[in-house]
Amino acid sequence: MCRFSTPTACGRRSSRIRSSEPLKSAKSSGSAEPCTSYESYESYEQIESSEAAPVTSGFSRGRNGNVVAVFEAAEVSLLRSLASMMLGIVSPGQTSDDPLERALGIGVGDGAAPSDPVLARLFPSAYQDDKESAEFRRYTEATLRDGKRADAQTVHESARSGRFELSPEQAQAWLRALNDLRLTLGTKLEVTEEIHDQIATMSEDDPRYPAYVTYDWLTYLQDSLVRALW
Amino acid sequence: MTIVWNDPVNLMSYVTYVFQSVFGYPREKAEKLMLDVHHKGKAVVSSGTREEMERDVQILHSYGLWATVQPDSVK
Repeated sequence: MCRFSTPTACGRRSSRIRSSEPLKSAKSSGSAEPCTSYESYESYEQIESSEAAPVTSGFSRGRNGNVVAVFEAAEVSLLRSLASMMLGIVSPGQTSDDPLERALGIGVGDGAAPSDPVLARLFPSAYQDDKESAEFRRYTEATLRDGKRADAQTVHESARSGRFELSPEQAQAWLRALNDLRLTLGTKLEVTEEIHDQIATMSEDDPRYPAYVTYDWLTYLQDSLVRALW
Repeated sequence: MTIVWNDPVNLMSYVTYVFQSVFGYPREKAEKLMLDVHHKGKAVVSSGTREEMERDVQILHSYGLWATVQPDSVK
């Protein structure tokens, strides 16, 4: 598990986010699975022009269970890019033509675990036994996919520059979406629990640096949101 | 039983929060389970019928935790 206890623990979070080829190293792990579309990686180009993620951004407790969020314009565009990337990676859940199966969210396919490591992490096997796991997947994955897409959509639609409020439901969607993004980047970057030490010693010229800084920034945001909700 | 496995991405604070909000556990219990996952690699976070465990696992997956159903030896 990632140990994140202080706002400074994650290193150079406030560094400029910049890159020539973000996620280059991670991209090579793409699979041939048709539902894994990496088309929205183009959106990473926007990261190049994004300025810093200042430490003042983040979340705090609001009234009536709401959460107050503060972001700069560049951060909002980065968040929207990342949410779009998520929508590109997680395709809508597919149910069969049978009305009853569709109503129950029963998916098509054989229920095999995804070969793509990111999808395998976002949709883990529920059982060690392959057969039981496949059955569980058939009954749950379509719903889970739609949920993850809805969460990413919520981030995309509600993110604004400046100060804005999230309802308790929106805050939960943000929490899950930020985690999905961290799981996605973390899997691609093959992060370990020593991620913060890695970033601290990484050269800013390292091609992986922008992706690591983005991951680190998401970590900071997620921790900030958890503390606002607690 | 529902088992949650350790992974390098999920935040300790987040995992504790998820255990509290999904299962309604008090903070101390949630933190202890989180630390068990962190140090021992896994922890049993809930137990009950197969249907209940599958529901728990589905919710935990929606929060991005790596959870599995472990069928009891006594069925």
